[in-house]
Amino acid sequence: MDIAGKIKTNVSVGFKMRGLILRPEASRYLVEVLESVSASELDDVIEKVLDAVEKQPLSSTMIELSVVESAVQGCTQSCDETIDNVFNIIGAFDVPRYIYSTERKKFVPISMTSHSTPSLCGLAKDKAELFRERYTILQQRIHRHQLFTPPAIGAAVEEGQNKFQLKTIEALLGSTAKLGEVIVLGMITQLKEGKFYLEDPSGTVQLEMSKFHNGLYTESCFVLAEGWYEDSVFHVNGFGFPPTESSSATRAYYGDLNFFGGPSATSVKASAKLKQLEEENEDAMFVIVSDVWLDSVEVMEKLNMMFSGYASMPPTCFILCGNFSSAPYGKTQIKSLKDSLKVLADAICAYPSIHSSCRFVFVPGPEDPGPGTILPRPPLADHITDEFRQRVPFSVFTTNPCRIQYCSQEIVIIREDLVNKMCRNCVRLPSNNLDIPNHFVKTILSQGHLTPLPLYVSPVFWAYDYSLRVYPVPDVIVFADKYDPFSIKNTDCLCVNPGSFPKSGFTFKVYYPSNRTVEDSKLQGL
Amino acid sequence: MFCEKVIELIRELHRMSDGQLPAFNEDGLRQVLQEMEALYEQNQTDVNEAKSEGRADLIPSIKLRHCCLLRNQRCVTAYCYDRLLRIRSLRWEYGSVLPANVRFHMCAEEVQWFSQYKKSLASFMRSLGGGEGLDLTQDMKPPKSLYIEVRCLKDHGEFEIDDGTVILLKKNSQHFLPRWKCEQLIRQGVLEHVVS
Repeated sequence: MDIAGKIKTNVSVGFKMRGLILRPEASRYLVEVLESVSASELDDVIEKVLDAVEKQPLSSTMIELSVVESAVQGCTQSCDETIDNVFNIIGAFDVPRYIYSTERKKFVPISMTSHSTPSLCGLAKDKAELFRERYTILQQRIHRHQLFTPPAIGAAVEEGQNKFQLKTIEALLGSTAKLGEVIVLGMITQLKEGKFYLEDPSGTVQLEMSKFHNGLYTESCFVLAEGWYEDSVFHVNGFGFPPTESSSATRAYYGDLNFFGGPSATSVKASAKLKQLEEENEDAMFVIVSDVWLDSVEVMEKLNMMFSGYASMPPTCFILCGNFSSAPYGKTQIKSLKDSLKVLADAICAYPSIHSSCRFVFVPGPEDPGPGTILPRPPLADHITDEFRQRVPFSVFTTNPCRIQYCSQEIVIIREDLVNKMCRNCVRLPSNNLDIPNHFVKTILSQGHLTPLPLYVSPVFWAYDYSLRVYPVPDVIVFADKYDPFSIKNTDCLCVNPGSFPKSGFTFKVYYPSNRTVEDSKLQGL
Repeated sequence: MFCEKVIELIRELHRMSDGQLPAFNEDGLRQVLQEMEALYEQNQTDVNEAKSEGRADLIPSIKLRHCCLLRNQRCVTAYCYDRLLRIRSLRWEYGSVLPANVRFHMCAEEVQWFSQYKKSLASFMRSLGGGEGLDLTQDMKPPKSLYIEVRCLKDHGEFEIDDGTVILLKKNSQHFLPRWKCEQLIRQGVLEHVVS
């Protein structure tokens, strides 16, 4: 009793000195917990608990029981924290949402704004918000680019280095005279058939287009249009994409906010420990396969061959993208998918080293059973995958798109036939077809969005549009596409397409995080 | 003109009345730093030229730029320091947990500084008063009476006072409580001081 009393005064004095007040039930809990601690260590332990309490987001000086409980847990598990953060799979619906606040010039978490929590059945407001947010994110990025920032006072003006000023469409519409040499950021839309318009939050203006820079320009794409304005028509001399910004530059402006998601409170980029872990683990590899038709005998054969090849040196993770059946229709589809997952489980269990040390990530494809083609797509239904998950405990069925955080690297995976869709919906197709992957990657990164397409071509859940953002730019984006395989580096981001496994002669990609390289692989018929 | 941006920063702080903390002007600070970088680079090239070619006519402009650099530096330091003073007084005024909108006006380094200040203040206060600790932040002005009459404005649940008795704060109930225990709750709007 005496000891308990002493602990209690110590605890309450400790909290009082920090300016905090304990709830009675919280103080009772703490005394219970601390009874096992020896008297000499008591003060240090209390200090530790206090530090942990202060690290949590407190709203008032009143400390509730739940806060103390999680603080005590945090104290006892602090050593495991980095291990937790090594490998995480983040579904599209768990991506944290940040809203750019123009007054504060900062990204604000949604909890601090008046926005309602997103829901699948979006409101009309969400649809408007979707485009507005895409616009503001690009706009703030452009304003920071050196071409658009005003020159520093006193700096020597260099010849041939023009500084531009962005205009809004309102400014164009308001002028009666001819305006030469203006640059406008806006979205390409087709308000009347055959006539293209440029749209920004302040208005729309008709376009007269002639010249294009590199990239795939689709409707609903944001462009920098350069040209002259006369008689309510904007004559475009050249189209360009908003300049991209590497993720290190973005982070220099916004600090350690964790835009990506996952358990870590701050961005994993800031953690030296994880970086070191990543470099030490040279054997880590990610095997990326797309269009895994589990019902096709040939595909299963090749998968078996792959597992036997990797059995002696199991990779960190297999990323298997849909569609998981070659004939994605018919009333027996779900049953046959279940059966083929069973076959896959058999194949995996045949190689104990792979079964016990590899993770399996399943990203559903557009034609797998589920709610249509709207992105982000929920994972395969539980009743299909239950059995498989029991037999292969390290398997995760996740959303499309999904994100993987490995040590200090961020990987975004999307399974969608985007290249084709983008080309089909281009305002003008680039003349040189060979460069299409390059154009495609440039477009995606400069748009800061995975599907810069009109909503009728690539529908998205309005309120969840933010989960398709690729800003700040991740380290790796996997576009699992049926288009020919490619791997391209742009703005410190590695963009990889493994290609369709069965259609492209069983090619797949292997990613080595320790030296950030991608290896093209192919299973030759034996 | 040189140093105009940095004066703007100082003015912004000056306009705010005492104790208010404006948002950390990261953008303005960045512009000042850019200006300083430009000044420094120009000075470097001019100094090299003056040395190698013996051009004495460059020296006045170098001196001018150097003065501007020093002034910029001084003003930036003043800006940061004045903010720290304001943040320090927040601890004494609002207690250790800041309202979210105030916290949002601080940059990451300032938040860190604040928590370290809290910590060292706590350890200092603990070393006073013979093992019991002495809370310096309470009763900044001598109180007229140690106990006050308060009325609950909303249900707050159980509340423990120093001698260990637990009282139940129910809406509309009245209590006679030690003043320092209630101060926080009055600020939060849970209790109301009944002035008879």
